[in-house]
Amino acid sequence: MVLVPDESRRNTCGERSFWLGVIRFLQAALSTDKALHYADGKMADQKPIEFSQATLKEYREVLGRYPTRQAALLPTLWMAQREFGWISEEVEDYVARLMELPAAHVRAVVSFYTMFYRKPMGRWHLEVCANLPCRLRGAEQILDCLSRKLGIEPGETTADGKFSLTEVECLASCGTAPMLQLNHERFYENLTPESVTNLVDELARRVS
Amino acid sequence: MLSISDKDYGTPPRNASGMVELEIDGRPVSAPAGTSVMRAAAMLGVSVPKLCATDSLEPYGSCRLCLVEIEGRKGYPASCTTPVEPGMKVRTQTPRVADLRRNVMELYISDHPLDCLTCPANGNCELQDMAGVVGLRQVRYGYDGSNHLDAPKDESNPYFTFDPSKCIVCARCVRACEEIQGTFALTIDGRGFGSVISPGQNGPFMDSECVSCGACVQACPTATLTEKSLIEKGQAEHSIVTTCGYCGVGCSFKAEMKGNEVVRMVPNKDGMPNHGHSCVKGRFAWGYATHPDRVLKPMVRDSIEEPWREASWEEAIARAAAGIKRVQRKYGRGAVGGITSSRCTNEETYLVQKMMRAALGTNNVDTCARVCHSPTGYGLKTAFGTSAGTQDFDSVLKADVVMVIGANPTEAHPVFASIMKRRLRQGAQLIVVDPRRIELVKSPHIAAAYHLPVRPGGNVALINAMAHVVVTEGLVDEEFVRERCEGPDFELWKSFITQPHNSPEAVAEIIGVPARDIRGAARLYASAGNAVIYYGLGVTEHSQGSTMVLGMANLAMATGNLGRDGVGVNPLRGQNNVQGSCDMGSFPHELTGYRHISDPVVREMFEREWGVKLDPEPGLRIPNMFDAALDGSFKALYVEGEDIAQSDPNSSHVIAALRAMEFVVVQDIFMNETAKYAHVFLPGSSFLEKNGTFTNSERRISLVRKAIPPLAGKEDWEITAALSNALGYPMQYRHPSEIMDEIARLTPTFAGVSYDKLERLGSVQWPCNDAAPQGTPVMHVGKFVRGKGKFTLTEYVPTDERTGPRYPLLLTTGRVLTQYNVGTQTRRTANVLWHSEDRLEIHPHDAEQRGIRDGDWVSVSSRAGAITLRALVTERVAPGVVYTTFHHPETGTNVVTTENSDWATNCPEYKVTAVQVMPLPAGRVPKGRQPIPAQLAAAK
Repeated sequence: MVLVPDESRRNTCGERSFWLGVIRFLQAALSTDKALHYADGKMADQKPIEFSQATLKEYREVLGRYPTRQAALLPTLWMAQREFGWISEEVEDYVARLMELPAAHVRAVVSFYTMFYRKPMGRWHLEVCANLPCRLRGAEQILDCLSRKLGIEPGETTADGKFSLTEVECLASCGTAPMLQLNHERFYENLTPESVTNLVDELARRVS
Repeated sequence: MLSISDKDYGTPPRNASGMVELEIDGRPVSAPAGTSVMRAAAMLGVSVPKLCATDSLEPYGSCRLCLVEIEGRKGYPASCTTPVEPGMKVRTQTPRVADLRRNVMELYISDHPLDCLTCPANGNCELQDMAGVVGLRQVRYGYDGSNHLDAPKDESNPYFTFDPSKCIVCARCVRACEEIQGTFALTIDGRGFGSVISPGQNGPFMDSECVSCGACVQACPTATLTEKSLIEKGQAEHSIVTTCGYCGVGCSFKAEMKGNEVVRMVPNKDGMPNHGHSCVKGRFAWGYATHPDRVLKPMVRDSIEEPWREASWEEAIARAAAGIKRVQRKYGRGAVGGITSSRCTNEETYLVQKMMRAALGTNNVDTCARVCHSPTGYGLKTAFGTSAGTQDFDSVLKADVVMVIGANPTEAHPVFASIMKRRLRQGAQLIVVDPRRIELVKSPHIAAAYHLPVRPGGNVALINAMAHVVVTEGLVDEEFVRERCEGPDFELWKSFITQPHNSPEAVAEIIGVPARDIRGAARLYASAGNAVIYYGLGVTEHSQGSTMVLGMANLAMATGNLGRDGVGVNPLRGQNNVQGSCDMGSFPHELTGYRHISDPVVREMFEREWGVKLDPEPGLRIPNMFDAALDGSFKALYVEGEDIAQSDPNSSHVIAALRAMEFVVVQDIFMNETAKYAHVFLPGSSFLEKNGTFTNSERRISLVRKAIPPLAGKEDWEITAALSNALGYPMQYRHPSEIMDEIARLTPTFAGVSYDKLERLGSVQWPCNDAAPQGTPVMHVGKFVRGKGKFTLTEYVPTDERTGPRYPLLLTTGRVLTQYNVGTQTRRTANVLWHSEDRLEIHPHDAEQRGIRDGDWVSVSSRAGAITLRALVTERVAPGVVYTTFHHPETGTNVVTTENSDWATNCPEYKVTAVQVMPLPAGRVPKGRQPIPAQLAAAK
């Protein structure tokens, strides 16, 4: 049972929501720097979720770089996202047990940072910067164009699981605005509607 | 929500020595350095509006309602997170902060249901109060935007509801779970507008790590987390401060009342043992008091084969007196005896032993402390001179190393465990000595430096080995030993303990703990600034229970860990009044204050007060009573508040003894197992129905106050007094305070105790007399009660209870958080939802050898008997050891425990029983043992 209010009702605009958001943001921000606990596991009984030997080795190295286990949670979650594609409840459980942290604490951190995915993402993840410089240089057009081309809104994944489209904050490439980032790895810059259309076509070919 | 009568200062007090002078709203105030502006204002009587602040939690600064103006500072700092500074000039009410606060309230209310009139918090809601305080008149944002009003309610917990639609995300619940309870079950899920309070990974409360302590419910400023009893009954109109009737922590509670009905129990912020914290039993599991199973009329019958017949109090008391008299005439004075319980008040246990000794002329009186902490009484008295723990609970906050031996505080003493865990989170080191991997070994923010999984029965060898390391490695506190202890005894002990057979290497094999770990733990304990020992029945309930208590005392003395804050040797008492019942002269050989009955000076004092001659010979202990009954020389018993047929070891033996008696009187609130063999049943009163005092593990005497009139018409002390009168020995007390006055007259350690003083101070720790009129939190400061500390030789003698081919496993027993002893109380509450049956914990290795899978029915047999229960396969227990609880009568755990007992005190060896475990044939379920759906339904 999940008690989170329906995603669609959580909108955003309007002064009131903004300020309520600020209050809740403060509350959430203040709550995430604590905690540690051994979580006894309730794993889903499908395929076991476990780090590969290589990732486990990397995890142990990372652990050694931090003064406490909970401080190593963010890098460990990155590894988990790399390994499993997204952070499901089962992955949260696995990380909690691995790190001997309270499951609640792992949930708090995962749900606070938007760059941890709480649902499966497409093979190609397009993150379009929509901050001021990019916007002044036509980021909205780029987003529109991608939305139309892929048939999805920002925040969604195509039904075939190939593409996810996200609107993100500044990626520090204002000099080459508008821009997008592919799969957290590669920048595409000085975008135009044509160049993104070509990019999508090319990527679609690469998976098929 | 807070109790109806609590004042909230917003942030916790600070103990700094330096005072800071400042000015708030033009008035001068002086507060300890580090105090928040909010608290300083509250000290002046100025309430700054607040929502996320409460004085049981560290300041957080998220609600933005407590903004103030401070001269010379930019902006509007939150008064909860701003510490006072010298010369500060604060204004708490200005037009500008009024505007800001009103706007913040408008935002909160724009996403809050407007159902105040039908809301359970109506009348005690901080959000409602703040809306009033800030003068909220309209909500300019309207109510149409997105909101959380449809968030579904979580009613999974049997005692409270979680209604997120009313939540303002102040995180008081999250912080209470972390800071006060230390369970870390709650968090905030999401960010910004999407932030919601989340139990575990946003599942129902019952599926999370929540232990239902109630700290979050207490902390919630709205109706989001609310007791179901409050939802059902509405707000209380008055409250009565009283003391919990469960474990030896002795938490102080406010019973919130509506007429004669309890609405809810709220932990008392001013209560010294618990400082406003509670556990699932004390806070929620009090419904047994009015359970339909309560017997409300006296019952009589001529033989135990006959059905019970209701009788008037007069008839029942007259029959009880006549029966006891008849037995005495026929078989002699010593053929009768009395047993009281650690569940009774001090005044009640005092009266029972007085009645036995004075009215019946026999010293055959004992208490159920016999079967739990009698070795503590013997051991600590021998070593230090007094039969009690050395510290107050708060002393643990000064400890650097905490050694927990044979105790499981998170389950059995949860509120003290929370205080201890707070200290461990601050960095104190932990040593756990327990055959099981109890929760403390690894839990939120806590990992034991050493877990020594000693094989049951090996305690003395272990403590000797630790002392061996201390002495041979030069870790003895020479100065302490020289000045504070008996020199010759120490030298004798030193030459004993340094013998090679006491070395870690020599005992490692026998007790199953690596020598390296024993050495490490000993060094850690001995070289800490302050090291403290807390122990439980895992120490005492052994054939060498008293030896082990002496062994711990030796170790503490040798390392100088006595006589100041943060150190000591401390028993954790299982029941609310174990300490008190021992203090009250309930043992057959002792009068109040642990003075031997053979001492003519003491006896004469009592003889003068009581107007009778006393027998100088000690009477029979509980196990001796049973043996004598089977021999035919013990024929009548009066039992108050203890279910001996279920809780004493080797139940079949106990039952045979009860059957052999001619006359048994049982006084209890329920028709218990023992009552099956009784001739008169006197209906007692629960802790809510009587006045008296309980003494907790830290020697703290606290008042138990009558919240409702006794359901059966009499408080227990009145019943005993009536019986004594009928026996021809008059007892004319008008109130238990008069009994306490008598105790104080007769007992040097209680000389300064009176109900007036208890009313005034809230509670007091004995010794309380002219030398210590306010009581004594820490004992043996500067000098031991007996003068000099006494070292005793503690040779390890293995128990007769050994494993062999027929019984290859060792069974040990204990409690779980949600249940209490034989379950008389907790089984009659919704706590059965957490622990509906006793399970046998068995290591996967032992389980596999026997073909046992998790959940299988198994039989456990010992030379005393056999029981059946379901298996729980877990690595919490070591190979070769099995474990179970004894909360459910259908399990009958004590059928298998043996009558082996402590050499000094006859405390039964519950913790070591050699057993065999075998699976029941596949598919066979013992008769009548389906997992109790009827009980679960009744609880709901």
